[in-house]
Amino acid sequence: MKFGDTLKRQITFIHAADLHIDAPFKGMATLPASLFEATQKSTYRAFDRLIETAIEKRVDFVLIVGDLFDQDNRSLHAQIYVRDGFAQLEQYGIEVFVSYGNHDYVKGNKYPITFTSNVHVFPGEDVTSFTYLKENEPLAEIYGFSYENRAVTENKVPQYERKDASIPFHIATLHGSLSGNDEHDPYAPFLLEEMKEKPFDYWALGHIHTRAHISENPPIVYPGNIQGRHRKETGEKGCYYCVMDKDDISLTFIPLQSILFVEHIVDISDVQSVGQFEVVLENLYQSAVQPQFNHVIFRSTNDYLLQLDREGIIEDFIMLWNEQYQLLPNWQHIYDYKIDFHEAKSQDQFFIAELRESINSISIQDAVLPLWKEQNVRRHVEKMDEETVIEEAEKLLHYYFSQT
Amino acid sequence: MRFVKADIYGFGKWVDQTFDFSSAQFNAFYGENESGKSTLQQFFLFVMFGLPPKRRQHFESKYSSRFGGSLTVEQNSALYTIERTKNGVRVLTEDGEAPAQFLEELLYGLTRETFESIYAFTALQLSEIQQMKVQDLNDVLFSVGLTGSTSIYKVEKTLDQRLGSLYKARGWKAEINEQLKKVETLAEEVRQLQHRESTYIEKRTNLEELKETLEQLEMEQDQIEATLHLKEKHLYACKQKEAYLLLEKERAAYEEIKPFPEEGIARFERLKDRLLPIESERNVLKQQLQQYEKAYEEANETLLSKDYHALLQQFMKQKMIYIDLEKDIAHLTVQLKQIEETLREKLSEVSLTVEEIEDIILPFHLDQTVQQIKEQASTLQQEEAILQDEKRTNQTEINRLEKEIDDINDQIIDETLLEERKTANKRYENEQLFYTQHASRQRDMEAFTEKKRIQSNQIMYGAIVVAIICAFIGWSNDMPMFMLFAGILVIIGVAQKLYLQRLWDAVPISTQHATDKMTEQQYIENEQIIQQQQTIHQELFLLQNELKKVLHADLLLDNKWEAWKTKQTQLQDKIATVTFQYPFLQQLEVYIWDTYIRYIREVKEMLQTRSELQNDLYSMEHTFAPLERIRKQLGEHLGVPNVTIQQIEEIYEQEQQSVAKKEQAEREMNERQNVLIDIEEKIATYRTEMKELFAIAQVENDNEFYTIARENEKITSLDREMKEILSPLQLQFSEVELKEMFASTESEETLEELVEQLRQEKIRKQTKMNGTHEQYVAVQYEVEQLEASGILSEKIYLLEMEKTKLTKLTNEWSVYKVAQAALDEAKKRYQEKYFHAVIDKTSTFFEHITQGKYVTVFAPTEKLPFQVETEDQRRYRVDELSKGTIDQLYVALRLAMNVIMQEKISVPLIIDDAFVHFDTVRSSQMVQLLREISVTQQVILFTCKDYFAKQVQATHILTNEKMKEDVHA
Repeated sequence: MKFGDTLKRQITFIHAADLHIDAPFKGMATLPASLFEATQKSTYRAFDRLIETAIEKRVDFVLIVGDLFDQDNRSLHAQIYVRDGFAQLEQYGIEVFVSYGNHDYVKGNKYPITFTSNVHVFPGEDVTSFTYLKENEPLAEIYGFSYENRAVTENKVPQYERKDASIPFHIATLHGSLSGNDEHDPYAPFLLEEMKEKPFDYWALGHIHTRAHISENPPIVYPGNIQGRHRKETGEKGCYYCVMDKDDISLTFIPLQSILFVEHIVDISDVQSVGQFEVVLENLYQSAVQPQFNHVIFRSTNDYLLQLDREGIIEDFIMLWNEQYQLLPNWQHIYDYKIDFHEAKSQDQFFIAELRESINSISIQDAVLPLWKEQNVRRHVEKMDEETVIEEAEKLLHYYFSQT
Repeated sequence: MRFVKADIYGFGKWVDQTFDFSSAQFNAFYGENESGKSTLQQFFLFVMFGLPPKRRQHFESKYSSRFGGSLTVEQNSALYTIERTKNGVRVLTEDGEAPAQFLEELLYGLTRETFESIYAFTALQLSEIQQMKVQDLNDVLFSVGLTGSTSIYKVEKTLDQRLGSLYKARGWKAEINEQLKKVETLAEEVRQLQHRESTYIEKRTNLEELKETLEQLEMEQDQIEATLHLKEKHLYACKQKEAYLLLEKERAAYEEIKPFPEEGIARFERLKDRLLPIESERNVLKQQLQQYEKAYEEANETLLSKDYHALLQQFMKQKMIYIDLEKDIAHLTVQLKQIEETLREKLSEVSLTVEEIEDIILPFHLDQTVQQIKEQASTLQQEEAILQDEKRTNQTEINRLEKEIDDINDQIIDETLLEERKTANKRYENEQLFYTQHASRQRDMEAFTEKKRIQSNQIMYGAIVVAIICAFIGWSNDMPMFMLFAGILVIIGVAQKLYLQRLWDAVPISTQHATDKMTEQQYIENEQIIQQQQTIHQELFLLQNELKKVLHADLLLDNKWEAWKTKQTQLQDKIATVTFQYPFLQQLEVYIWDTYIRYIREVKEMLQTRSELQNDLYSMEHTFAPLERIRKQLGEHLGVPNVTIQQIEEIYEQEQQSVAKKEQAEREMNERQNVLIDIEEKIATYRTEMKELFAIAQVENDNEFYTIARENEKITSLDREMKEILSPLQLQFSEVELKEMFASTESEETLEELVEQLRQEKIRKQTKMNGTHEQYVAVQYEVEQLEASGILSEKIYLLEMEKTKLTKLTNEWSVYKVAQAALDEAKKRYQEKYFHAVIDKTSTFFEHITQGKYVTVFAPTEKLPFQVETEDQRRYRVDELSKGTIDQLYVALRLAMNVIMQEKISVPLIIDDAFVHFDTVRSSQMVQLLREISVTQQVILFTCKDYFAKQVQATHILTNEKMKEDVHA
């Protein structure tokens, strides 16, 4: 780039968020030893890829918008790993702008690690900015804030003010969610219109794990996290590679995940035998370019499904399936499954009807009290919702009483 | 479902019985005891539910081989026949056989027990009423309510089991309990690890501090070392200094180094080394020289004088010659003597003188000639003898032959006579021959004739026979032709015989010659004579031949004789020639000429030999004489006049030895002389050299020499030592320092103390440093561990997983628990639902039965049994009631249950003498009730009470005699 050639001014950067380094996967009861390590290291691998991508593309800087670490799981090892990763970027002259989110808020950091000089951390909840210099010339201003405590409930957008208009590019980073969004916890809630009105070239968001492009002009982007960690985080995960010049900004999604989560829904209403079930299961396998965690929902109107489940046949076959595919370099693993059973016709056994009525009339809370009164249990276990319990109990009783 | 017909093939006492129920809903059987009521009941149950084999046996009929029967029932307006025999059960519909499961359907899945407890009503059951608790009732109700499905109990048990294995309030090996423990443990571990990580900052600080301390200590240590080093130097120097001073003092005792040849001692020593052996050698040589001189003298003395020595030499040279000559001469002499003798003999034999013999020259050819002559003479002599012999022989022969010829001639017969005889014989022979021929011809002829005769005879006879036969045939057959033929045959046969006969007779017999026949005798004689003559002639011929031969030979012989003569003459001539030349042969016979000549030759030879020998002898003696003279001389000299060769030899030997010795000694002496000269030279050289060395050192003798050397050495070594001490000191210290040090008087002890102190301090410091270093390393290790440790993250992951597992288990537990609760709830509600209905109904029935005495019945609870209430609300517990009332209550209850159940399950109600205890009044009440019931449900009643039967208007009457009676009521 020629000095003083404003027309050709361009910056490239990587926008990532919610790395949750070293956060464990949810919803996995057991993993075979060979997969355990891969799983455990998956976030690290994704992080490695992030660094590699940044170096490969020779970006100017990297934006990490919140939740770099996972509070409860923040280990020294993770911190050092990240530090070393960023140190690599320093060798290539790539800057890093980090803001802490609700999962890695500042006050929760027990042993602060000193990052290398190319890493700039937003210090506190007040919105501050850093100037990005290229060949000693200010090229971009990066704005943002870090969570000091576990939550930020106020709308931070008004606090974003453009500093120096002579600087060509202004990028705002914000870790939070859209106001009125019930699905996620409302952190730093913002209004879209408000955001758009601000004179920023790009809003780099974080906090939502599913990437989304919520606005085009200016681009307001959730990059999503870089590695899925449970059933709901399926599909490719990664970061955005942005090339920004005065007129245009191009965004390219770059997948970084090292393990892919996939959801399968399989209707086995026609399955009448174990052999048929086996075939169905076989067909689930598709060769992949990456290791995969599979979640399967077996759906049927035929109560043979219940039998398969109750008798542990589904479980056994899944175990075999797992064993078969677990040693491949791009292994696949079914970590859990659900039964979805809808009765085709209602059995009019008067006692069953009686049962159903009873189930709906009893107090679930009281029924499960003996176990749930234990503190330990409450502490470690997430309670199942009543509807599901009732459903399952019905199925169970249905199964037992249909045994002739 | 209701019964329509019962068909018994054989069951208990019932055989081939049919009962019809189609007509009424209310069927009553009246029969006295032992009339088979119970059996009938059992039959119904049997057909519906079957019986185990043992119990079946009880009912197997004695009167019929058939067993079992059928029950036709109606359900939902369709008829079904249940047939059960020994072979099993089957259900027949109007269309055909239904599958076996159908029976269950017909029976609403009821079991025998259930049926009996609800629909079969016996007196026995009535008596059990007191025992009836809530639970039984409930259970019974409940199990009835579940058609064809698992008993609740099983499900409850399963749920219970699973719940128990999942979770136990008092933590004994339950999955959730264990999983909880696991989770707790892991959580704790995570906490601890996290806590450990929190110490990270502290550790880092600690590390820094330790590093500083370490550095400080090092610095201090360096200082100490420097001081120590300096003081040690001083200490060391102290010692050195003293040593130096001592040396200095010693050195002062000496002056400077004196001039001395380069490596003087060494060279001197070397020379001495060389000199010593040489000198000793010289001495040895000198000694030897002396010895050899002596030997020389000795040897010399024993020698002979020169002259005699020469003589001896000479003699010895020719010793062999002497000996040989002596021998030869003797030998020759002997030979000569022999020859002389022989010669004399020979001479005597030949009687010639020596001179004569010598004159005779005998050329070689003479021998030949003589030999020839001798041979010839001999040959001629022999020939002559032979010739003469032959002649004589010939002559004899001739004579003899002539004589013989004469004799023979005498025997010869006159030729003509002989010829006559020959002719005669010839004739005789011819005749004989002819005769013989004739005879043989005759014989042949006769034979032939004979043959012919026989032949013709045969023919004739044959013909006759044939003729006879033919005649016979002709005659018998009356064929004249045959007869004719026969006749012809006869004729022919005879004719030919006759003809031939005649022929033969015509042949003349041979005749003999009529002339003078010679007799055989004569013939023989003639023959003999002829033969004889022939022989004689032959002989004669032979003899004559021989004679001719002999004469011829004789002639030859004469020729030979002539030849011989000629040869003889020649020989004579030859002899004459020879004898002329050699007259001495004249007198001798030719035969001995060769011998004689030989002799002469021999003699000549001998003479020759003799003269030769004589010559030899002469020369030998000539040669021998001087030697003999020498010997004599030697003998004289030696004083042994007749000295033998041997002796001379001995002496010679001695001489030779002495000469040798002398020469030897002389040689040795010369040798030694030479060597001695060399040695003397060498010695001189060495001595000169030594002198030179001495000159340089300015000494006269070797003692002084050595002394100087020693001194010089001492001085040198002292100087060296001093230098050795000084130079390191010069390195360690500067010149000034050095001067100072040497000047100073700091005591050694002081320095030693100081050095020791410093050493101790150094050690202390070192220990401290080591300690600090260890600490540092340990803390550093911990810090590294923390930084590198991935174990926390692992644990966190594991924890999450275990939590998920726990969640699964608790969820499962929740589901099971809810299911269990629901089940309990359902049970409660169910029983409540129905139970209340039953109690209500019971109350109604009870009121009815007690005719309003009691109006309400209360259900039993956990604490209380059944209760009844009167109109005026007085409650009585069931155990407070009279027996009869209790029975009534039970009945009401049973019937109420039955009725309620009818809503779902419709089967006949079978009552077996249940009301046996009831009085009339109560009975009638029962009947009314039953009738009411029978509207909706088929009732089958058995009773032995006739009044009751009347009341119910029994439809069937059963008696012992009458097995079957259909009474249509």
